[in-house]
Amino acid sequence: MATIELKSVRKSFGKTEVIHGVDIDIANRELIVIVGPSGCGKSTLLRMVAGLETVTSGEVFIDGKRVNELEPMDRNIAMVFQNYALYPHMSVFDNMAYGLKIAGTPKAEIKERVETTAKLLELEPFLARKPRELSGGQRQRVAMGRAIVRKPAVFLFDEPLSNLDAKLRVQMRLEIKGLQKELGVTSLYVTHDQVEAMTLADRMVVMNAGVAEQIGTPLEVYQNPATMFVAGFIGSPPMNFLPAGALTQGLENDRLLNGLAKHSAGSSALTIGVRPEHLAFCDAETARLSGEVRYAEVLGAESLVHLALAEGRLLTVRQSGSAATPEAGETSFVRFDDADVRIFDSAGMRIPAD
Amino acid sequence: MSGMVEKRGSGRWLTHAGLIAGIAILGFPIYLAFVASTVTQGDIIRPPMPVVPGGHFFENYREALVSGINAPVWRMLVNSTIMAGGIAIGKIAISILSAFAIVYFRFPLRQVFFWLIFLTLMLPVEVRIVPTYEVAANFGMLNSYPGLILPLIASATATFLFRQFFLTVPDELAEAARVDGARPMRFFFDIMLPMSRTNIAALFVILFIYGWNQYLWPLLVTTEPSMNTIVMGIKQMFPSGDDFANWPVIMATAILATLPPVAVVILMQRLFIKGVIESEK
Repeated sequence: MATIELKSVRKSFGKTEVIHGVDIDIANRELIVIVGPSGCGKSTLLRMVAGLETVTSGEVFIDGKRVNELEPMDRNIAMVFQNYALYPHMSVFDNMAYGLKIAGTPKAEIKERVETTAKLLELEPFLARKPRELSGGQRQRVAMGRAIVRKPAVFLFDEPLSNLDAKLRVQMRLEIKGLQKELGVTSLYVTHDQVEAMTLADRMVVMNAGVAEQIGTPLEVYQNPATMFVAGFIGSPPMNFLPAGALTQGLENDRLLNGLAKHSAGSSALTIGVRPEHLAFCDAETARLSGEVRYAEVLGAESLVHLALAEGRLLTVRQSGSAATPEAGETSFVRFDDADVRIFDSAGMRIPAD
Repeated sequence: MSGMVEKRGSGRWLTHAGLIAGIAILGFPIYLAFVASTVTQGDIIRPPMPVVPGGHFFENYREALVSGINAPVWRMLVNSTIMAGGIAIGKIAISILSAFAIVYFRFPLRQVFFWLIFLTLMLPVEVRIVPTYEVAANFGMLNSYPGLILPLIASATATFLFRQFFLTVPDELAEAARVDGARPMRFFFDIMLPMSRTNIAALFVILFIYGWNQYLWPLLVTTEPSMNTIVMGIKQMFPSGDDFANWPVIMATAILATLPPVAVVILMQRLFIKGVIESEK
């Protein structure tokens, strides 16, 4: 099996730099998810590891070996593409066998390995079919099978689930996770879906505009986001952000804001963030914020209540589905614990809690 | 309700009557040619012209095939088949490879080369026929199959068609093949070529008929009767001066000349339709 190491990897297309120096260390058997909005460079990064894009500067190591100049086939990787990229004129068997055939594997071994993989993915009844005779989910499995059958050192996934419907996506997500653990192959997985990232990742890399903003376990990233971007991107609905200055006026004696003042003279430039589930409705005495209820989304297990604060800023409160939902137009009072507040400076970097 | 069915019924008869009339108009000259190929010279010359097939079918066709007028027709059919087949296969081979190079490889002046190929679309054979003849003569290709085939083998149209088709193939397919370890030519033979078979079948029909119907170039480049092609051969069967034309044999030759293209169309149409059905969805 293998490790992957990226050392200040940069990529430019012409004069435009799209990846501004990324460092990632991936341990053996680890599943790393790169997540970020479209255009953040996550696919480009994956394609550089695959060898489908050249590396402008920096180094890529697979299993300790520098692979910058190697062709994809010489890197011992397998890739699953978003549109599956199955060969349309070949049967499922031939699609899976193609890489082995090129490598000159003996026929009997090819047959055995394809059949074992097909069994693993429950593709046995479809081996003689052409890709066009399969459903989206089955095609996705064939694409996975084509990667697995080659027993590569590294799996690369480029948004493999985004062409599936929502229900199938959840199912395949669990299956990919299970397969990856079972096979123990180091994997790099790119997605724009933060739920996918949270559920799949051993560790995740949150990318924004060509920079890896944070690398950490899903819980670490969720609980201690390094930047405002990460705090806003991971978690749905996103974290509530409020200018610290706006708060101070209503809450003079607040312990948190007194502490805040230590960090900089102009505390008004700071932003505080609180996740929707850390806000709770309360009475006027204990309230730290108040606002008018705009609308509530009742989702069954939970409800999302959207409030408009005095200066027009929207605030989301997440509460249990069994709790009473306030009516639209009501004035509600909201409280939160200091421990749940994250503070960000004017550059968007989190200020650590002492 | 019944009125509607009736109306629909009569509409269908009308449509069919129209189609049958059209086929009759198109088919009648061919039928006349067939009739003329089954009677004697005397029957044709004496008015009125016969419209019912006569009893000399085998006689006339045997004469045409075996002895002909300048050269036996079987010889000209073989020449034409080799020329048309050579042109069709050669054009497809060259243009599919050029299109593959233009779409999948980045080399200096790639776009320039594409437009140069495209420009030649505007130059028909006739425009460049004198210099082409000069080149063919200097290579000693007169009265030879390479002389008949090679000067007509480049095809901007086919290159353009294959290029357009390759551009519709998703990039990921090439990337998947690269990850699977396929070098460029392996990718070409294992993946692009089989995927293009529908286009190849359609082009083969068009190009075979194009090659079969070549007239001016074979006329220039062949002087020996044994190298004549059938299309120019028919013309050369007409007498010059006061000789009389052997119409039954000429008509038999004309009918024979239509058969190979018809065979190609029927054969390739099956492949073509199969390809279209398979690539559906």
